[in-house]
Amino acid sequence: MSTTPPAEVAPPAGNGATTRAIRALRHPWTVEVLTEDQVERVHGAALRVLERVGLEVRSESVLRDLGTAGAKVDEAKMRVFLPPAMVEECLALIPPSFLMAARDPALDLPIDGSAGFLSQDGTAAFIVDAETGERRASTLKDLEAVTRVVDAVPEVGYLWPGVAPGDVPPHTQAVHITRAMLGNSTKHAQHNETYSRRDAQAVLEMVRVVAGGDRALRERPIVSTYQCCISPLVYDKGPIEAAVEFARGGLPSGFVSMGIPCATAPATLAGTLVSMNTEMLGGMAIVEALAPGVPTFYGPYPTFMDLHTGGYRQDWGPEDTLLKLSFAQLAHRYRVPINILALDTGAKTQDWQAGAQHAISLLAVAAAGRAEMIAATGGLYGAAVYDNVNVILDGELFDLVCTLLKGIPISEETLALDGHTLRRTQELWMPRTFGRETWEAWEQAGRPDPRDRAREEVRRILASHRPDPLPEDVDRELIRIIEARTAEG
Amino acid sequence: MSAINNLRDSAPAAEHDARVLPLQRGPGVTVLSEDELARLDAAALGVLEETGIEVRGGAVLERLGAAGAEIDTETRRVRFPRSLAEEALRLPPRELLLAGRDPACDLRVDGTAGWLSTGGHATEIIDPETGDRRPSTGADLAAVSRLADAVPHIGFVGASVTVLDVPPSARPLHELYVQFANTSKHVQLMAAADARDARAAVEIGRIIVGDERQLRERPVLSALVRSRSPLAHEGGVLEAAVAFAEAGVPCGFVAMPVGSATSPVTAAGSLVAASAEVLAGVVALQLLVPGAASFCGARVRTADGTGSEATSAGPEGLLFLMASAELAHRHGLPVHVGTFATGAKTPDWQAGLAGGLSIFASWLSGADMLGDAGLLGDGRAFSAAEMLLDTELFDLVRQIPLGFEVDEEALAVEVIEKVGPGEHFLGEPHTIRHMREAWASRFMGKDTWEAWEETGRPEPSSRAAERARELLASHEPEPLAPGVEERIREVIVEREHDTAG
Repeated sequence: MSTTPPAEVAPPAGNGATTRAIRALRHPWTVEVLTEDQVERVHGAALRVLERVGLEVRSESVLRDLGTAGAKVDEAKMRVFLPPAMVEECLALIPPSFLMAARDPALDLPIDGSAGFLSQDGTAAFIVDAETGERRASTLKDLEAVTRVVDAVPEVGYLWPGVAPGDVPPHTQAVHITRAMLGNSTKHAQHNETYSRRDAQAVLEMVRVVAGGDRALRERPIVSTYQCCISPLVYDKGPIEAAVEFARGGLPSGFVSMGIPCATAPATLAGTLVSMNTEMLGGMAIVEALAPGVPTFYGPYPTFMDLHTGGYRQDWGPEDTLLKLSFAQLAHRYRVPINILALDTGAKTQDWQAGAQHAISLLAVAAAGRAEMIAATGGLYGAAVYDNVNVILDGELFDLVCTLLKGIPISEETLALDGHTLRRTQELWMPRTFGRETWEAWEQAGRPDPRDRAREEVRRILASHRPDPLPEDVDRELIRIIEARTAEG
Repeated sequence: MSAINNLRDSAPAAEHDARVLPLQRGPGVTVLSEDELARLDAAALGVLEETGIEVRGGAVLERLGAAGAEIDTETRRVRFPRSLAEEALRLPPRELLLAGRDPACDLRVDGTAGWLSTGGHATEIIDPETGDRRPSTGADLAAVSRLADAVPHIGFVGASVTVLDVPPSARPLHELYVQFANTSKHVQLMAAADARDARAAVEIGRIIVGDERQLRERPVLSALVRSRSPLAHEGGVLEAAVAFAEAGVPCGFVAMPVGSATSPVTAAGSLVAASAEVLAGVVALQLLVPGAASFCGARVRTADGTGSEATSAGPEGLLFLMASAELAHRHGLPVHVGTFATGAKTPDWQAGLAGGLSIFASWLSGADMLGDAGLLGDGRAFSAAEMLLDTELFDLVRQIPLGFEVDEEALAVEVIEKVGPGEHFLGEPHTIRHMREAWASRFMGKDTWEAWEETGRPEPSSRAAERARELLASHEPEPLAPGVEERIREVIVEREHDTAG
């Protein structure tokens, strides 16, 4: 169970870097869905919507700044209309690559198209208790624990706040999350739970303390962020102001659309592409207009609606693959890094459905040509419930697919038809949670399941893994900032 | 490379009530570069030329010598000079018909689509009623065949379970009969022991379609012949292949090396060895029956070095599957791959994961025949629930190459403009027109967390098992024509008599 996958990213020397390494998914394959003409039609349609319908941006200050930057603004309707030329200029400012730095430099992630890195899921309000296996509301202690688990798993490249700290006051969640992530892992943290300019300021203040100042943070952003659109076509006041604040502070600031065909996007896949693409292009154009050259990214997370209940559709399938492949083509057309959704499931436990949805979604990402950020491991039931068990199981799947994508080494030696059987056996991929016992032994042992083996591994990590803590003085300062934010009420 | 949406014009027309459903070939990906593919193929052909293949028993070796191959009667080796092998590999037809007893079940194997099948000869079955594992019987094979007949995702059948309640020598023909009697889909025979079995199987095929000429035109039967790794074929099995080919029955060759035990353990070495065995079969067949309909098979299991059971859905297995397809397609030969080969013992996370990976990889590789639906425990047991779950994954992946429309109506710009920011699309006529286009799953969970807990946390496998019981209770396959059953029984009795004598 403690098999350590091979090193992938060579650690740089110095800087207190460890010899730890993150598993990277490299993309030798590209399967395209859209024809070149169709890519341009989707792009053209998005430009038309941005110009004629615009985005509703519920922030007077952001609207004012956008007006100054050249956009047409209707303050009464809180609408910004972005002319095509302005959108194209803003898109041209997006850096094609950037660094997602980590507290441990060995765990830095180059976001440059050379590889994809897996993120933790977030921010569920429920967790499956590691001891009882039952679902319950999540707490700050849970957040710390899930962060430690992810720190120990080499297939997970970077953090999200895995669960919501439901036991702290809502307005302090963003700062508690910051300390919990940075204090319980030395991996890069992507903070997606900031809901106001004030949240962003407090988080930035904390992150500067950990990074060693504003300049050090700009050089090595140990935290990145993204904000979600309210589909269709709305950016709410808090999130868009937070995005601009983070962007001005030099943190990578991406945009996610969670359009739902039939509900918050058109029922057709092409229409969903247009609608979600418009939202993400609009968000990226806004931060580039107000913080030119800031790293940003494209985050398409489509979900589906159950037509019978009107709720989240758990049994989604092929449309998801088609949208993933199409969005990857669009991101490639814009030369922007993509944060793509995989390893999501509607299932409520790690059953056949979860295995199938995870496998197909990850192979779709593998076939997408490029995907720098791959979200997210840990979620069940449409990410409404978090379970550490997923992280172990997905780590194995991610490792399997990364190994698959390396292909077959062809050389004189590997083509040899005799000789080194025993020596060569070492190279075979080794499953960690898959059942390998005989059928008889399996029945006698009470039919154990991969999730049982994974749960044992979670317990082992929780009992033994101690991530490198923050320096005491740094942590004291973080606590002070949290207390100040708490006092704001 | 072409985009999926470019292929929409060649997509099959309406499929309502279709008895068999294809997996349309997509743009595909390769795991071998053109240069690597050429090197592997040259290495395999080099094995045929230099090392040769052992032919154990029978008179085929001498016939191959007469047809131009180099033979060594001491070592029972046959060597195929490269030019001879390449010439032979140009002879098979590029398209195959796998005919069904019901013409609505005819399958065209022409590089445009893949077809799912059962097969694998498990020796145990998960009893559909009790859920317990037990040895398989003729009644089980009949039930599995009826189930395959009922489900349109299964294109053709092979014996997924072994008929253990008849003597081994009688099994190939008995299994063939049971399948013909319980499905009107194409049947692929995977256990012909020798030429006499093959000739009897051909006779059964002729009885079903009418006569010799009609079987040639509409082969309702095909054969998949297995090599003896490493680098050997049973002479009797090759004679059976020749007997099938002479009657116009398509015949494929498959190597089934188990990791380090019988083939070089590097992936490249395994591929060369397996490819050499398979190509030797095809070349031998073409030398003796020029132009015979032939195809390749690919199955591998990798021993993990611990002595425990083999793992088939790891990265090595998937790479073997995809590379084998590339090697077969290099020669224009269709390929039959072991898609649904999971090591899981029940339809759990591992089974779903393995199935999802391998069906997606099979699609990406452009495989023509996708085998082994319903097998668990690395081929040890068959489960009807697992078979239906496999068809769910086949159905899911089947939708991907169908792509989607990107025209004015689908781009929906006017609807987006009309709805505007902060509103919703639920009541829009555009939504009503298109909302039913989404794929529908049959076995995945849809209930709320609370409802799921209250009903005892059901999993997809319980819904699939329930559906299998319903289909087994209700589905009646098209019966054999009057008198056919008696005539088939006569052939089987005669063959048994022949063996006894």
